[in-house]
Amino acid sequence: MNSPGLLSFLVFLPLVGSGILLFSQKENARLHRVIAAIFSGLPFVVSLWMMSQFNSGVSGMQFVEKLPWISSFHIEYHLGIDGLSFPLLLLTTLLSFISIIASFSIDKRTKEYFFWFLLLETGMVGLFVALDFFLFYVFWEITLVPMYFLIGIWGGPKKEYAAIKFFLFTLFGSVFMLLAMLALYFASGTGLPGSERTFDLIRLAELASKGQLHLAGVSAMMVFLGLYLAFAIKIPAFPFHTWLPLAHVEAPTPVSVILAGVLLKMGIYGILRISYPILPEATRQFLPVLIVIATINIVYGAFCAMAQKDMKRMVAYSSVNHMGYCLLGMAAVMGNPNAAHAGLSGAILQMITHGLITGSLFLIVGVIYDRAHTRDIDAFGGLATKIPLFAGVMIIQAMASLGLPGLAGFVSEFLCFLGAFGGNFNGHHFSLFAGISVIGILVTAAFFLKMIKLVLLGEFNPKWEGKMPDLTIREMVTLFPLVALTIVLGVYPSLVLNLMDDAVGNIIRFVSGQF
Amino acid sequence: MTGLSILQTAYFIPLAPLLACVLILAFRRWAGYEGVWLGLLATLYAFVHSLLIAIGLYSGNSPLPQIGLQGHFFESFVTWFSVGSFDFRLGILIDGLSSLMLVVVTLVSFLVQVYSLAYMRGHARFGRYFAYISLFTFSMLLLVVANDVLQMFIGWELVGLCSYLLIGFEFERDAAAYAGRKAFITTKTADLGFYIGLLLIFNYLGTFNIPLLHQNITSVTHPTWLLTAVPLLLFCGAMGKSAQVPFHVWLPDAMEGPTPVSALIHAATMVAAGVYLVARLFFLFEAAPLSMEVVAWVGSVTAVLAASMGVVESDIKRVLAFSTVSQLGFMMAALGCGGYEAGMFHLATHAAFKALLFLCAGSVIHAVHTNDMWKMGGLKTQMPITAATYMIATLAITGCPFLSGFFSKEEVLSAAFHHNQVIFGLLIFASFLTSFYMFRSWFLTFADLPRERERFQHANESPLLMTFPLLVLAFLSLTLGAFFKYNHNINQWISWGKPVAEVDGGNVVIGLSFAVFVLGFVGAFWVYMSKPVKYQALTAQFSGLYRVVSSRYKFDEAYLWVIGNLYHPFSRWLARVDDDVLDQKIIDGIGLGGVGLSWLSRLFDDGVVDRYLIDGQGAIVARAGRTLRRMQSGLAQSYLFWMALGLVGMFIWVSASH
Repeated sequence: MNSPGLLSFLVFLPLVGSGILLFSQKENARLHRVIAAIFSGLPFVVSLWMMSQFNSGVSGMQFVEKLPWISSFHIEYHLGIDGLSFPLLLLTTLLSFISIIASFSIDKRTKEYFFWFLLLETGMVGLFVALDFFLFYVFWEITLVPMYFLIGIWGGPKKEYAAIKFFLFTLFGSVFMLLAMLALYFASGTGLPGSERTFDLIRLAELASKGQLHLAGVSAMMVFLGLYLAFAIKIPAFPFHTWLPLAHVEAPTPVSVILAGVLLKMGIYGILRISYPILPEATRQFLPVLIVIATINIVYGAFCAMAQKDMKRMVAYSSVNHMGYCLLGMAAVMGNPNAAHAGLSGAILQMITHGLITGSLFLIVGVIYDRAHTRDIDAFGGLATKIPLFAGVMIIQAMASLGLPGLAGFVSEFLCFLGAFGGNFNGHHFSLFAGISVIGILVTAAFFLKMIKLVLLGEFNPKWEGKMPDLTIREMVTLFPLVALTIVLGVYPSLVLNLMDDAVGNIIRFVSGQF
Repeated sequence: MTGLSILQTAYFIPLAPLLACVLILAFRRWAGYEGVWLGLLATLYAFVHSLLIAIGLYSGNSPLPQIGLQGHFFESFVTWFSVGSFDFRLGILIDGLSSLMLVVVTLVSFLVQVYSLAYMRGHARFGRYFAYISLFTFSMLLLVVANDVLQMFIGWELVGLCSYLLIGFEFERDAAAYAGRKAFITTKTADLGFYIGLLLIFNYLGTFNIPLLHQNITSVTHPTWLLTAVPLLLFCGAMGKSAQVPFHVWLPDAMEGPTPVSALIHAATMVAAGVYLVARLFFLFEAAPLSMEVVAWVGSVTAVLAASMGVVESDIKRVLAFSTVSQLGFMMAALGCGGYEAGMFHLATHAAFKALLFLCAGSVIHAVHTNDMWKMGGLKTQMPITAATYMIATLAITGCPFLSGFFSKEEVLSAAFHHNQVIFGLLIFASFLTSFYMFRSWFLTFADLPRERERFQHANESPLLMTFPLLVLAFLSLTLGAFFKYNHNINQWISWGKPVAEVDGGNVVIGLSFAVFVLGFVGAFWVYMSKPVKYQALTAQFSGLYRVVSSRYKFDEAYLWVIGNLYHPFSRWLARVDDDVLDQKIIDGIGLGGVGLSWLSRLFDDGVVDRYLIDGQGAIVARAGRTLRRMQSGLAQSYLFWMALGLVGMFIWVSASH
């Protein structure tokens, strides 16, 4: 099923919205909110509809759009989705819409705020549907600027520092991605007729699989590392994660939701979309390093979260831990067929479930912060008696995050572990690292239970008497869909897993070189 | 219903309580007090259905269609999700073992809910309580009927959640909130073993399906390390859930939960899940002799240690908690010694008399508003039914001839006797302690003179809703053992259809078992009842031993020390390293280096390039700079601008070179 222009429509709809916003009155916050809601709601509805049109039995790209763009450099406007990108596209449009609703509480410079937010959505959606490396790069950079301003203007006390750190960190990585991209371009052909160069990601992967990419050994590894650096910063993988807690603490709640829910996934997506298929040899060489980094992310992130006093910082570090599970699953790609499938499916599913769960955890912390103006974990106590609805939502999402079966986090996490345990490369088994990583599960349980205990249970802290109303309608509208999805995906993960099966098979074939 | 359709519809057994849970939670404001009847109704249905299955299997009216495990079974499943060519499934596996467990779980759950109608009446979260109980019943049944190790794990974790929620049900009290968390974390720690076990099974045995696993184990030769590692890792999880040493520390604290919860979850069903797991996957254990030894030793050591702690405890519920730990040790020891039927037999009888003991304790606590036995005494006149049923349960657990515990314990001891004399000795000693602390608790609570008149006078027998379950369970405690013992069919039925090895310990086992029962009773009577009472003198005389035992062998202290001195400091140190060193020093240092470099280059630009090369154009540059500065609000654009410029430059260069 191909609907021409559908993906472009999705990509540029939010941009149109931000264009319209420019012509609105500066003071009319209500109008800004309505425009933003419409232009983020529509893409969500369209992407939902696409679910009925998406054929999960088809291997390869769907909804493809391909136009020449800068033909002297063979740059094309090439869009398409497969089972890898489609779930992420759904996640992006959903979380964008929910974050826009959650942003209704913002009343400072709303016009600019929603302008940047919609621009950000265009960048994110574009990134996940772009099949031309140059286009991918453009969207990658586009997401950077709105994020910079959203943190830098609407953030907390140290917003400028956080914003510039986020910006420079990511930009530093982008430079290497740029170099890697050019290297791939020049390796893709001689430039003579019959051997044109290309930025096309699909074509590049094909060339690589046929051994026609003139890139091998050390230079291939250099290119891989360049790409990895850019992606690792975004994920964030140890030791490039330090911008994350800071950015989260300073960012306003809805921006944190997008940051954790979508932006981090761009890194994993980049690796799976670009590095894995195009640089299989280097990927295989890198797997032993990847499993170590994954283990560090998981254990280190969990322990750091354990020590935090600021709840938002705690959830931020838990993201470091949870993105580690993605890396863990991805490292399984060369394992036995069952393990490889489980690991990669788990990694992709983990991106989705982490987006839903951690997105809602940031909303939950935001709910408390809006009322109490503090996120200090020791400042509360016994809230469950006063705000039972909130307590219920928080307990469910915390349980989901610590991997309770029946909720979304369990299946993805478990698949990542299943895969990693069977992963190996050149006879090096990864089971030891998977075994060490289970410590992360325990520590995650410990800090989430600590959070529940200190905030919700025990004696009610009289300081908050009368200051803690339960969830408002707007908060319910943002939280309940995420809670519902967390339960639905926990009970019926096939909803997402079925979409990605072929894409996973493709990635495994590309990396292993067995067709 | 015909024989087969009653099996095929067994899906409804776990699903009914789940539905009840959802409905109660959704409509509890609207339905108020009456809504909880849904929970009872669903559980009653599950009980009747389970009973029909059990009767069908026992009488042979429901022949089990599949053959291939160690005997006959019925299996049915659906694919939950697939990854690649691997299917993750959910389903049901009905055989003697699971049908026995189904009856036990649904019966106790039903009786506990009836009891709770009175016990929890007037509680602010009355509806929520029953919803949690229904959720627990669902999770436990999910575990019991599982045909798949992964499904067992899912039920396993969900009963853990329910346990957490119900221990901390009165979460306003710090002690309850902490106890819930302690239970969750302790069992979760043990579950890591289970988790790794699953990873091993997936990657080395290739299926989670229990009958297929059995086939695989018996038909394919596997390396010894694998055959040993898998059951030991699974047993690690079982040790957590069944509170075996050294994971037993959470169970005494779990007594912070409402007493009916203790009866259901922390005595009769959930804590027995570990035993059930070992029994369900017995073929895995049998394939690795070392794992059987470990199970036997852990079980018997637990039986003795926990029983000894029960002797010096003054909180009536905690006495019963230690007793539970100890009895679970008996079951584990039986399984480890190869006494498959013995372990399950004891599980079933224990479920009845231990649930009864807890419900009696609840009845007492309901009446006198304290857990401390030293504040009770003489209650037999005020609460005759409770006192009598507690005595029946006491006689059952201590092994009084012809009550249920007598027969099951005899089988356990026989299994141990034939396997290992030391383990047998440990269990005999534990039996003596059991007899001692159980009679002690009865004497302190119901006999003698009331020690606190105020409480005594206000104590009344509990209402019928609470005493009815006591009577049912008392009847079972009296008869269940003999019923099992003298119905040979039943042994066949539990044992998965494989021929039962007649374990008969002979006179040595029966004689010793009876001797320690009497000895314990006489000892307890002598210490606590004969005048003058001797416990003060005895504790003074053996003060060293008393201190060691009453400090519970310092397990808790050791764990707290590790948490306080290693775990928390390590996480704080790591967080500080992350923030101060990695972020502030290294990352920001690199950033600062960049700034320094750009400062140098500006110096060069200003001092050399600008002054000597482009002097004249300085004014233009300055004006352009001012304009640019006005256009820009931060560093971001300038970076983008330079990047775009660089990109264009690069392209010009690239296209020029070709």
